[in-house]
Amino acid sequence: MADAMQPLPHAPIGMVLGLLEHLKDAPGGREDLYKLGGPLGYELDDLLPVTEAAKRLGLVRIAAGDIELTPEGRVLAGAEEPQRKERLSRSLRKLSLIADIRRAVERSKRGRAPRMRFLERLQESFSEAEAERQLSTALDWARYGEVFDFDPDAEEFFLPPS
Amino acid sequence: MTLAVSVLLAIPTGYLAAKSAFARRLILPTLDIFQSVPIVGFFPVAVWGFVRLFGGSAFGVELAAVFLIFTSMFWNLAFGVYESLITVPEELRMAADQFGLRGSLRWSHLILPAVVPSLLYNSLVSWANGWFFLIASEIIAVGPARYTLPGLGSYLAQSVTAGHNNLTMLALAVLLATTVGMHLLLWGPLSTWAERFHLEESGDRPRRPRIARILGRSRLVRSASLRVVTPAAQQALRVSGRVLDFLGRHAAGSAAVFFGLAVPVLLGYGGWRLYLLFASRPLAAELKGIPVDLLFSFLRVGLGVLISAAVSVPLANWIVRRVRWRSAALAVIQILASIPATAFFPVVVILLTWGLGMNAGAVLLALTTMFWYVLFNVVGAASAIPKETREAAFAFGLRGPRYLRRVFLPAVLPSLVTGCITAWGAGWNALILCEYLEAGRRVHEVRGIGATLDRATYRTGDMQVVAASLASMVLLIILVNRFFWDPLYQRVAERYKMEA
Amino acid sequence: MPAPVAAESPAVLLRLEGVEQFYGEKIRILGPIDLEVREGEFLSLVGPSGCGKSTLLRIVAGVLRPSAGIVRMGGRPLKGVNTRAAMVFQSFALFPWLTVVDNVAVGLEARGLPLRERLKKAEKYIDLVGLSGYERAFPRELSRGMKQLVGLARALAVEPELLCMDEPFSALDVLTARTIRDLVLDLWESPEVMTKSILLVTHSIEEAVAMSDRVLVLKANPGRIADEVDLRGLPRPRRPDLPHVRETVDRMYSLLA
Repeated sequence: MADAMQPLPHAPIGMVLGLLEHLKDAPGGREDLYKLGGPLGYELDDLLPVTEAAKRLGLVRIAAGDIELTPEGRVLAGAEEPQRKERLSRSLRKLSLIADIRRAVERSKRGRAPRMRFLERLQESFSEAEAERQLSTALDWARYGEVFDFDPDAEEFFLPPS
Repeated sequence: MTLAVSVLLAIPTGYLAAKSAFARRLILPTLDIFQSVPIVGFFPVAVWGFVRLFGGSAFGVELAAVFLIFTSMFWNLAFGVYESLITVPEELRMAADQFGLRGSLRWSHLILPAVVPSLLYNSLVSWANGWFFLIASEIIAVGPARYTLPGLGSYLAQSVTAGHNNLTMLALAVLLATTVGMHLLLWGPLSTWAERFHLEESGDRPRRPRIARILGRSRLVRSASLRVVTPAAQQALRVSGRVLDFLGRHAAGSAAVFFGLAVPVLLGYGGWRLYLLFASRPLAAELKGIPVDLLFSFLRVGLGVLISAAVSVPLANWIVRRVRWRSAALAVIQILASIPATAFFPVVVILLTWGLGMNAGAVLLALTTMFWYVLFNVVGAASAIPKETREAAFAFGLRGPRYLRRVFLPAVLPSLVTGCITAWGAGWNALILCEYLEAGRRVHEVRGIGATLDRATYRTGDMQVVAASLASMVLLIILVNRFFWDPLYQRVAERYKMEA
Repeated sequence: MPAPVAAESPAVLLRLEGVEQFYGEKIRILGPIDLEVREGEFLSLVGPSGCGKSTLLRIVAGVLRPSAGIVRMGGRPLKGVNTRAAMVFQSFALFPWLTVVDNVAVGLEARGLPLRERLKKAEKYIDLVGLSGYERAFPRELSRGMKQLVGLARALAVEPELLCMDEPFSALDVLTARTIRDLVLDLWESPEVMTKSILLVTHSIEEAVAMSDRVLVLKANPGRIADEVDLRGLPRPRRPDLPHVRETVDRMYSLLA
């Protein structure tokens, strides 16, 4: 899978949604990239992963120093819960790490998949620290989309009761 | 085990100290003094007392051993509890009040969780210490009679005394295996469970403790212990909450009375007997030698502290630099540190038979306990040095000894001092055992207060000497603590605090 | 729930009579304070740091006993913790060793609700604040905004008549703060939430103007009420760029100066 090697940008999903809200209010759903920083009090370090994440999920388009909502982004920005969550969940499931974990959990008889397994696999391509961060980010996004959840005592991913 | 009892008693004590200012004034100084007093020295007295009580049976000696181990654990635990409780953020306490958390819920949701990390850490250390004293106390002689308790310790000591080196090695191996096993199956999973109780806000998932990472690579062992240990620990938390709440409501009054009465009564009785001891017969000749003995021992402990510090600083720097080796190195150190110094006796004895002077031998033995305290503290501080500081130093050309002097040393100084203080206390304990050894058929000893104490205990049974040497040692330690270590720490902590 | 527009003077939910707070014997931190919060009202306390507004809120919540004066909740004097109010804290004050759902259920657990009921209730409020899916997360896995949402859910879960908020947004970034502010107002108006009135302590005038029906301006040394501004005439939503909003904010700044 082509994006198997592409690491997830480390942005909390809440900030991605916040970005959508902000762009929704901007004229034409578009904003100068540099404007996102200062007035909102965001540092570049925090901002870049958020815009990356939004791009990865197909919600924004970045070109010529501008950031703009895609049609999908526009729909999501205007949607109410729980429709927004459902819609975003569909995009989340397309990301390979999240999809892999979900599949493993669905296939297992107990409905659980050990975290170690994915950590080891990620460590083939990333450092240990980065692998850990990847899983944390994936979990945060997956929790929002209710794709899977995590049991820290047994260190296993599992299917949330629907 | 004794550890459980100590924990159970330490919690209410620390809690009391945190809650009531009056109790605090009583309890804290007591804790402070007893923490620094070498426990081993009191063993003869304890044995003498308990044996009298139980009519000279082996049970009395067992009890004395248990009592000794208990006292070695209790003070640290109680102090840790106290410190954890006063650092609970105010808003958290207010939230607990606001939402109506009272009684057993308050215990299980606020007080106990706040206390768990320090309790666990101190238990780990106490456990190791407990083995130390256990082995030390399993062979003990009071006066001409020798009491021996069954156990690994006496087995070890006997094989050393008899000169059976391979049996000694076997016993050591068993000890090592037990230690490693404990780490794998108990301390590792418990540390993982205890991670959630750490109060510092950290944005991302905190790192797993090294032991759990390195030793716990085996998925089977880890998941098995996680599945057993964690639920058990959670359940224990809930049950303890209920028990402590019940105790708090019904027994608090009587406990306070007990403490308030028992301590002065015991002290009074002790003082009276002491007086009798010295007044009833002419003073022993040996008493004259005590100040010089003290001096020698003092020099040895001091030397031990200096060596520990001098070696730890560059070693810690080296360890922290090599990121890949760091976890492995720390795991090894943690294991080594949990081996009680008394287990090293045989090794030193062997060295002695090869001609190593006893002076060096005693210092070496003391070092085996002292060194780890200093190293741990320094490594802890060293890992906390922000990478940028290190990089900046490098960029400005500060390398090697200049780096150590200008950057590293100031950064770790507070922790270094803390480690040295602990090592200082531990050193005295070790010296009491090390200055006088019986191995093979020879007796190795040097001039020192520990030797004086041991000689009086093992050979002559002269209680006056025992009491006097103990008292003078305790006095010296307290004075040095009060007038040297504490002020030093205050000054260092203020000037060299690393602002986050 | 906000008071319906055409009602005659609604009942008083909270009243402070002559409340004072001293530090030690001599130093007066606060008071004497007399104030009222009516049913269906959103009241803000604004003032510089040191004016005792947080102390005042703690007295209202019943976690601090005033040196003098009476706190009346629904007419009856308060003894101990105010069980008809719930508090949201500036630094979130979540129990780090409890999961989100356990944190939210904590007030219910203290009230003795059996496990299944309190989990159900907790999940309802977790859903209401938009955190569903995160029930089993630990606070350290959450962003600050999400932590405060947990704090909010926890307060709402005990279904208080009065919601007390102590500078709840000051630790958050601008965007998140705005989102949660809107959420608080939405929830207050929603039939799912039983809370009648909200008492907000803040150092931000803009925030007070954006949210409240009435604003009490406090001054320091000692803390006392210096002014009262009635904002009931200002229609919601109060976007900061609207002229009459800006005017009001300007006016209040000059009051404080």
